[in-house]
Amino acid sequence: MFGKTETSAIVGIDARRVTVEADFGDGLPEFDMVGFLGSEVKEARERVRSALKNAGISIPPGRLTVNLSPANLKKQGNAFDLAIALAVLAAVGVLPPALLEPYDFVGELSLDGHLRPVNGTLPHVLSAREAGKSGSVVPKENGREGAVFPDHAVYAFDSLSEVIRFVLSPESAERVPTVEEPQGTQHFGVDFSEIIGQESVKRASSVACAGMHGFLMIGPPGTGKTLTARRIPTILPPLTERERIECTKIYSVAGLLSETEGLVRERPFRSPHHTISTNGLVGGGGIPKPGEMSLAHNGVLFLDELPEFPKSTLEVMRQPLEDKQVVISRVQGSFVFPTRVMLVLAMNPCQCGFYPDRNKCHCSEADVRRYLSRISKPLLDRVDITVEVPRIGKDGISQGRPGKSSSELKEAVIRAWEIQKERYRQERIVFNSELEGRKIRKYCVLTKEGEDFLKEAFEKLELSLRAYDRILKVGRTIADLEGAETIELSHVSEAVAYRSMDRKFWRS
Amino acid sequence: MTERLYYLYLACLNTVYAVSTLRRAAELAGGPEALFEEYDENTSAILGMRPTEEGIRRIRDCRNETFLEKTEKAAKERGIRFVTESEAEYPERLNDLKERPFALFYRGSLPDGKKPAVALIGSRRCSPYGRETAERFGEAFARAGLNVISGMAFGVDGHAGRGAVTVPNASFAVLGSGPDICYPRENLDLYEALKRSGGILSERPPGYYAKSYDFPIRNRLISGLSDAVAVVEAAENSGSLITVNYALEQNRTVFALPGRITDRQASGTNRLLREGAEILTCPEDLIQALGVTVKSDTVYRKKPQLSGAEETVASAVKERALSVDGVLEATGIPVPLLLETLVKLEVKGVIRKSADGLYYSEL
Repeated sequence: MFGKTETSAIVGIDARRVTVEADFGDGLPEFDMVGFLGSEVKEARERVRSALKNAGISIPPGRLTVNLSPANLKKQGNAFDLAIALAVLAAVGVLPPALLEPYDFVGELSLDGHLRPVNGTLPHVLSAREAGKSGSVVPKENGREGAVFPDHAVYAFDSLSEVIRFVLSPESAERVPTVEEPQGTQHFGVDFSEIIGQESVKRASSVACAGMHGFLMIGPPGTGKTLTARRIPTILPPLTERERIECTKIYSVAGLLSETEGLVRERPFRSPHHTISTNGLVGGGGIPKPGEMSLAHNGVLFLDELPEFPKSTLEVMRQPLEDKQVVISRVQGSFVFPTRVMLVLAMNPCQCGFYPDRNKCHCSEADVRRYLSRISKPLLDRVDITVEVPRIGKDGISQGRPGKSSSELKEAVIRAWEIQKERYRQERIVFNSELEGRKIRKYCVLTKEGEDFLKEAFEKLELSLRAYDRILKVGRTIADLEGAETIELSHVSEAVAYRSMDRKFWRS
Repeated sequence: MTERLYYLYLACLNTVYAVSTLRRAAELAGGPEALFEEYDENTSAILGMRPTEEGIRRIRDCRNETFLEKTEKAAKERGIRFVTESEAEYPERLNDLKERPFALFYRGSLPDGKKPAVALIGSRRCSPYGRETAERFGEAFARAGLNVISGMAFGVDGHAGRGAVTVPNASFAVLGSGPDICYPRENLDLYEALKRSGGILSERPPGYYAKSYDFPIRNRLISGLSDAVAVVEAAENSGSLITVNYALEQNRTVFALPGRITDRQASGTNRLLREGAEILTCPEDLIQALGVTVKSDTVYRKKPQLSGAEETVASAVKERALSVDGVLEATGIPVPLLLETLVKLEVKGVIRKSADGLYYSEL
């Protein structure tokens, strides 16, 4: 006799359809599993056998063969147990095969027949929905995570016997209600208005957000670099539906979703410590898992104490930053994780942090230079905006005052995003920061005044040439913030203000 | 062998023996020529030149006509010239120095002896304020027609040189190494600029890498080549104070820039003032003391036309160095316009931003 269930296997952050077939026939009592299985899937045999027994179902003696297809896809993970158990039940005649057909099953079994939670429920549910299944059966703990689509029912159970009862009489169980979206604005718990002073830094942050420009803050400790970085997600526009699903998939696969949450609601903010490994940053592992860069997808990746990061770690970020995705190749195939992040960096000006305050900083010029040179130049090339974050009150005058709130700043950013979306509809880019080569000439048009000024500024301020394109891109964003067509003198001169790193006092 | 080569011989030995030792030895021998011809590494000890291993080796290597000729030729090929104390081009100001070098090697040109000269020196670890001031004063002195002498070190020296090199043939550096060795390497831009439009001087032969003790010795030439020495910033134990001591010995006027009593980098200059140094609060203080009369429009750049907002910001910064927040509070101009105005003022050369995030008013 033959039984069949459907489930899916996680590959990267997506799930591919997997069919579980079970055949039961005469022969010596045996339980065989085939289909390019990882060792944890092979072990499912023992879990399924015990779980069935402890659920009170005895398998008649005979030859049992289970096949997971397609056979060319390596099956890994703990999510196949439930589907295997049900296929076996259909094969031995306990369940009518037709009743299993409308559903998709994921879950790990314990020996006593309980269902254990799995990672990646959302991708599983998504793939079931796309395959036209009417519902997904998942472990209790994963119910909230999966129940996000009104047109696809998710049923969550605690044990194998509950699932069997459900399959036999579907009307006996309620689907998990889709998560209620709390209305109104998002609550980050932090706000830009809490930062006193540092007006130029706040302005620079909103320009950076408006064009998703890489953003670097240089300043002594305790001046509010980290404070600012944490508030950057609060002025980015809310996630779109598509972005929320993308983010949730990543978090789901990484197993970082809480039980109470549905889709991710807030723009991610990830701040990995500088001791992070390259795999931790870009993703990796035997079964590749998303790294911090992917966890920050659609949000902010904040690297504090930038020069403390090993050069090798930073080097591996270059490609993902460029391509907006990481491709990890393994024998069983390539895994793709998206990495469209806004890069926010912070650093001290020297080892002790107080340069150029010579009453505190005892570093020699060579020390300062060495410290600055630790940062990978190619990474700095991804940074469009650099600002100094000075100690407040250094000049004996500025005390600072609370400035605009996050929601005020966010409005301007949203408008700038819309202008860019409209402008780049024909292009394959979304933000000014992604402009390159020919496109810069096309979209970053300067007024004559602006052009003359820029030439003069280059000479007078001794900017390095690589700053040129970046000034144009940032100028474009500032113009967008004001709704201007061409980049005017005022826009380009403000953009010059954000190129501290190219200035001579940091270079020489 | 020409007379120049005998002096070159002495300059070569100078990397091991002090000038005074060599001078006494040459005197005892009866002149540089006699020293070269009659005393080899074994007999030179009679003249008081200690026969250390290094000294013996140095005399053996250099007491060789072909070697000296080769050195002269190689230097010439690399654009390095030298002038000996017996020649007319030898800087007159050095004549009354006790430890006058036998020869000066140089790239670019020698400072014009008819022009007044000022040594602009200070701490290697200077504050942004010191750095800005050094550049501004360097430029102002050069514009007033003074030669600016410095040591091309990190910090004040380098920035003084950078400010002065904007005027052709007014900026000169005296190195501790040979004139072909750019130390510190980070000042290569200045080094190249001086080569083109100024001068790099040294008493050390080409190819010589400076040892730590060479720098204080070199300092006597910085003060010696100048009529006045101006110290921009110096801590209590700064090497600049060595130069000041030489300057006093050599009868040069010492100027010092006053600083805040809380700044470590001002403790040395403030002490100099207490001990009687001339106060330097603007370039004219020194320019006039040297008897030069210039109109202020040669010293200062022409005032550019300013817009309303620019004028407001410029006068706020003139009051005192300010951060962006400080200017904001003083002027109330909205941030985007303010950032824009600050950059415009910088480009116009009215204010200058420094690494500490403060804006300073240009002179």
